[in-house]
Amino acid sequence: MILRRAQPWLGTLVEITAEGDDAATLVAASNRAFARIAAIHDAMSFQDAESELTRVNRGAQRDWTALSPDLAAVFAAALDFACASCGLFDPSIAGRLVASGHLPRHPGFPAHPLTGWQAIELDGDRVRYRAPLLVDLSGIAKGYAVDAALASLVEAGVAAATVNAGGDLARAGAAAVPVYARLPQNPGTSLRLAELANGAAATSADYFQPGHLCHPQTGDALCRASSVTVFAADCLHADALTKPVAADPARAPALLARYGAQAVRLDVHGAWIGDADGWRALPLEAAA
Amino acid sequence: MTPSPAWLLLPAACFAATPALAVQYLTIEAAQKLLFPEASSFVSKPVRLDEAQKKFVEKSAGVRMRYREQPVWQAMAGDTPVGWFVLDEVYGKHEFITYAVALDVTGAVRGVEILDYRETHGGQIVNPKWRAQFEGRRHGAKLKLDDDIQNISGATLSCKHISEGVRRVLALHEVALK
Repeated sequence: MILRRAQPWLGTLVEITAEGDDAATLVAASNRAFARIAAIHDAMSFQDAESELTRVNRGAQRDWTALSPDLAAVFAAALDFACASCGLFDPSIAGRLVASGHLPRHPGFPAHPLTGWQAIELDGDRVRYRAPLLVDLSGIAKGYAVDAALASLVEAGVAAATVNAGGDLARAGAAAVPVYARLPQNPGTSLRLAELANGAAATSADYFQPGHLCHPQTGDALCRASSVTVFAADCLHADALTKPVAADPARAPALLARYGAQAVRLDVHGAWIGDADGWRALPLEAAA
Repeated sequence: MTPSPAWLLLPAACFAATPALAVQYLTIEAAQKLLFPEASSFVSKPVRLDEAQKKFVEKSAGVRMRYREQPVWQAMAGDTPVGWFVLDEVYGKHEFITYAVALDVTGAVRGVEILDYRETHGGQIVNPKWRAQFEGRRHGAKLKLDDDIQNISGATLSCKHISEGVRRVLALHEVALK
């Protein structure tokens, strides 16, 4: 049997599909997975004036600030990824998004935040900022939450499961499921891109919030009338990879190779698939 | 060419899929059981607001009431009330969502479950350049229409309307269920 539920978390709808023989197990497992997402949502919300992340953004301006295990893991992943992408993924881009009004300016935040992830100093479970920065983990926390929820479902004994947080999705199970992406210029229509068994997919596009994605170094808008979907082993990396792949397609193959990932770019001219070997056209076929 | 990782079957081809995503997650009964597993019965107690109550709800929640009548059930464990199950709908620019809010006896939110999700922007004509690519390849075959699309990557709809709806439900509790 299959249980499908959805709840509003992480600023979007989170859908959990759990498969197994016993209804009570599926209910208990999905309850536990939603609770895990809720805890990560509460800890890592940039929007919430009282979240752990907001307290860290305030405190780390002045001194070392303690991190919970979840937040420490996501900070570590964010810095590793910022380094691997040469700053194309930059969690300190929040400063620019606060200035443009896309993110809120909470009390105690710097009046003129800078961007530059190198000034974030992480030491295990504590962090400090050596410049007036603001960190937003939403580009990576959503993927982390999806992975954590999926791990929780598998631990709880479900046979197979999918977690989809507004398009950042991860799947565990023997049977592959089709994964779709919307046409950037016509988001009501979707394309079947791949079959996913154990792994994750994430898409960056701006069809619902134009202008909300921008290049960390130039500030230019990304994903205008295009989208990038990344397939990777876990959702944290799939989600994090979408932005640098969109920002710099020429450097994407090296980055995709490092994480064993693949990307599909859709734009007005067609579809391209990118991996360690570079980009090539992805043939589009109608089903017979 | 690098071999495809084991977790992904290489996307050699794309298929055009259907517009208008629609998902039915839970029936009212299933949502009631999930949100109040301890309840033995649900007593239908629809709320009908008078003009003053409607104004109070709109003012305190900051959102318009579309209807004066709201489907509400009281969850009972034997003879003891354990909370309220409020059914609600929200409309966004792109979506139409039916959901339920569970309130405990003090009026605090104990859970939100989506019952039904429908996108309203489907059925548009595919961009001509895209269409042209399909036409070269399809040999008279119709584009594949999947009627159950489950895993859409990049469906980043905001849940702002649900947050507004929950505020409205809390105001309704304040004025009519206390």
